[in-house]
Amino acid sequence: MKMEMLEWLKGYISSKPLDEIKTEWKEVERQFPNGVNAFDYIKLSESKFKWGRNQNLPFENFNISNKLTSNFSGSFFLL
Amino acid sequence: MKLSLYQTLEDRENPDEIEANGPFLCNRSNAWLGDGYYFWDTHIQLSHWWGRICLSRYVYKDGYIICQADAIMDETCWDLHGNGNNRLEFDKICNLLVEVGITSKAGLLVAHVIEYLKSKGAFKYKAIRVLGTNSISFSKENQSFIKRIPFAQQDNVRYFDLYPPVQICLIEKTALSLSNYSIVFPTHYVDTFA
Repeated sequence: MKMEMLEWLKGYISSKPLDEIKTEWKEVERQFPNGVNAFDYIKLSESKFKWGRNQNLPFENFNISNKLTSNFSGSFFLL
Repeated sequence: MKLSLYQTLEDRENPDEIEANGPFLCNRSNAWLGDGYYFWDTHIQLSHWWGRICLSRYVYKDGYIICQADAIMDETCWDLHGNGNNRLEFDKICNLLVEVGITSKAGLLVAHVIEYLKSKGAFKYKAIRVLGTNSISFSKENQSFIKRIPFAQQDNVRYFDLYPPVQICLIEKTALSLSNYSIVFPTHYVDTFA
């Protein structure tokens, strides 16, 4: 299936100097300095829930419990 | 597919204002899916859980309100929960950004992907649906908000989460044909007379 945004991004990266894109990217980082790491999220989503009876849940080792993203409308990601 | 969505708000004794002007935008710098109108998908327990969390952390001072709205899932939603192809696309975009050196694995946030695409006019969706994996920890205090059925009692146990913490973030207030936004909790704000 077509991944339009991915294809757009590939084309955009090919068309612009990397430094220019990095500058644009840094502006987004400045506006959103805190939140959930994308690769942590991908890893958690891919994981299977396995644990022994006397063991901690494996995903509890991922310490992203401080990623409180909003106190207003429930937009958050919290362990 | 019809959806029931729930939004938790601080109770500021302003029910009329809430129903007249809701839903409410979250544009905080740490909003995990970027700017948007955030809802819980289907399970009001999740909204209650969030309300209790905010109360316990003194984010909400005097209580919380839950609003419910109807919506219709359609192709304008980037469904990272129900659509495997959408998840694959997110995965590939993240890897591409790191591979070409635009950002690092450690520094890439979910919000960055979404907001960057938006800033370039390349984000083609009006809503995002995503499972907040492990949003609610498996602790004693959270037991009343979760319902998990283990598949088998073995050393390694997998479970079926009956109240998965799926969130929907509307980029536009009217996305997914959002309608009937109204207070459902606490009951003294609910208009019981039709």
